[in-house]
Amino acid sequence: MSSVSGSVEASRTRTGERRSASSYVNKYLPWILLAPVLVHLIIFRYVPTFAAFFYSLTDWDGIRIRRFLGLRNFEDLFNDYVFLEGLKNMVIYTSLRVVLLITFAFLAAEFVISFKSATVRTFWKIVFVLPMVVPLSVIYLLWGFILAPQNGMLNSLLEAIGLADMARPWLGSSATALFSIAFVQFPFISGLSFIVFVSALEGIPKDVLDACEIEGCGRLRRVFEVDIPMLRGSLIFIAVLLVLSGIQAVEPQLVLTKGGPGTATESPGWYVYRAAFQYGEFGLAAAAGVVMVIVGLVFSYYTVRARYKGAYDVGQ
Amino acid sequence: MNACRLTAVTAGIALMAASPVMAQTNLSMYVNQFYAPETNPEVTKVTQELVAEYEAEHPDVKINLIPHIADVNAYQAWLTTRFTAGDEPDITWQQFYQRNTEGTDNWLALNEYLEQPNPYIPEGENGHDRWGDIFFENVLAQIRGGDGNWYQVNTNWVETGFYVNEHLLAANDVDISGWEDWGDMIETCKELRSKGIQPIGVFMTPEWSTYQWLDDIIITGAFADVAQSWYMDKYANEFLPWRQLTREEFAKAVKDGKFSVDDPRFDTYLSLTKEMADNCLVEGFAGIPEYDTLFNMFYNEQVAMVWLGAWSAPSLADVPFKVGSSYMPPFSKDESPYAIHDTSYRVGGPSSSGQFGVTASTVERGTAETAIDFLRFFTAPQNYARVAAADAGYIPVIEGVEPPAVAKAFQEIAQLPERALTDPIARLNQKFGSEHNRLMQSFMLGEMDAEQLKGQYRRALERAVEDMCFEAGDEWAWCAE
Repeated sequence: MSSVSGSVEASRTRTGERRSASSYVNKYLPWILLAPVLVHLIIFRYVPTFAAFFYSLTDWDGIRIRRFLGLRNFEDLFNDYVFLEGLKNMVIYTSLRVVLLITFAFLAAEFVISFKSATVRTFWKIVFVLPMVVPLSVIYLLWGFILAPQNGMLNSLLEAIGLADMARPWLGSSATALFSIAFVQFPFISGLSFIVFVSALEGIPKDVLDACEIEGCGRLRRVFEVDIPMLRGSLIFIAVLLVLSGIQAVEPQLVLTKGGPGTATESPGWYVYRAAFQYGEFGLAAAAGVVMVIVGLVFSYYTVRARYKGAYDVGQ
Repeated sequence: MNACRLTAVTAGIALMAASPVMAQTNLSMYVNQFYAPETNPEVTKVTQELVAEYEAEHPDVKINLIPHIADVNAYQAWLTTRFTAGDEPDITWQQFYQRNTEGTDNWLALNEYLEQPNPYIPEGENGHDRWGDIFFENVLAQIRGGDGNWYQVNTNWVETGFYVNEHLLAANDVDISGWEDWGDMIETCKELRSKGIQPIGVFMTPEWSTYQWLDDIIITGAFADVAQSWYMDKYANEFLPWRQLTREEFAKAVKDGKFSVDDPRFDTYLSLTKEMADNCLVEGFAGIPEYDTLFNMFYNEQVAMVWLGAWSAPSLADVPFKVGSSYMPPFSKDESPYAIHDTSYRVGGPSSSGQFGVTASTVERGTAETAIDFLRFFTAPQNYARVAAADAGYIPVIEGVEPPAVAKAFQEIAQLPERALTDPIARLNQKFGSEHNRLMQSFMLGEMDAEQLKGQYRRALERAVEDMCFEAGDEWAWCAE
């Protein structure tokens, strides 16, 4: 008897061990799978970001800290008209890009879902998404040719259609340079925004669309009374991404303008690049980076809060 | 078995002892882009041929060529570590001004060798009796160290100038051969512009750009009469009564108030710059991001003239129009009352691809004489001419070596006096350079007037000197005065 009960006990123990091993794996598997990403995030994102807060208080040349400066780097930043102009440009550039990219991507998405046939929709999705394979640096180089002062494609086009008076050195004048770089990638439909909007529009429940139709919605009314409210989450998500990319923008300056003419296309991202890699003022660059992080965090906080305030998401 | 081995070893030693001794000299050489197998195969081939010929003539010498290091900063770091480790090449390239500024004992003075004959130059020809005679006098004067010694031989020169579309000018009845002064050039620009032709291609960004060459010349012309009074004794060079100011000299001039935005010379500098921008520079000059775009504009006949480096000459060999060359004319007293030269200023110099010195450690290694001998062989006109022909973008500065056809006019430019101030980006610190370019960009585009510019320029100067004094510490004692 005792041997039987002992065997049952042992069996229970083994089963318990298997369960406990299984539950252990279930419990920690997500962490195990996430570990490589988390390690990467911590080493290459969080550590440098928090380190930047420290370095922003120092005179750091990238190799050694020469002295502790307290808040002097921040004082220098906000006394530097180049940085302030960069902030102003950043607001204009980012606002323009957010409005333009969201508007055009949304229009393109509406265009695609207007087709009933799945095949036609797929065709247009491919057409709009395919240019995403072109690297951003190549896109900027191409736009350099488009906006070139002598025989640039844009000026040539204007001349061809009888608008030669409008031709100008788009990147060579402070009046037009910032708007010109904001227009790079026109018509802005090839990108993440388009993919997100198409997916979201296709995910709107059919009963909502049917109800709208019964109410006598026309196409335009549906867009404003169903699509846009239903896409609020997606719109804010894309807006946050676009704002963050606008704050960090450095490619237009690097490839097209170097921040000029004058300070017309200066940006905080370009300021950080120059301070660190051209002047060797890594402490000052860190301070500018900290300002960018704070601006990005503040904006993200308020937009994300707004996103969950009474929002109805597609799929909920 | 052991006995067999012992016998064999003994026999080997005996054989070696019996054979005639031929001590081999190993030379290591870094000849910059003259040995760049991947990026510069033509000139590399010539260099390898010359080395092979030398080794054939001197079977006891084995030369090891060190491949080109493309990034000059990486090269300098490499050379520094080699010097530190005592493993530097026997012959190596170095910027002459860097050697002279550092003033280290790492290099062998070449004075007595330059006085000696060069056996590789045929008898009766220049340089056979005295090697130094084949080098241009103005180059020798410029590269001479502050102690009066020569530590390098410079074989070529890098220069800049106007490349001219002669077909375009001729078709529009424009002749620039008669330019005598700045005013003539401005008149030509106005004429070209009135005919719808963009006169001169220059690009300008807040970073490095060809505009800086223009700036160097204008600022030199505007401050020419006082520039020499800014020289510091520590940089004195009796062989160069007129020379380029060092960063320290210019910083001190700023600190002492000798270079100031309140100086009427600064107004002259601004007005000449604006005159050039308004009349001569290609429309949109501030929107052209880089050198290659400018090159393409000339190639595509969008500008009548373009200011490029001599190294671009080979790439223009196949253009479908006749390419000539020219240069900025001098300032008359009407244009700059402070001008003291009747010529313009060059922005190029011997800081080029052919600057070779023999390292001091060759004396201890016993390779100094061989290294000098190879340099004599390499610089003999009949040999160097082959290198120069393959490296067509540079102007040879060895007597008897013909420059490539397109670059020929640059030889005249190379005889001009040097600019007193270097590019803005290197004039004080790089931050000042960007600020200078940014402000001048706004001024030249008419987006900022002279008074606004002066206010901001003054602050930029002060801040740059303050930063540089902090960096220099006690080395710049005048900072504390």
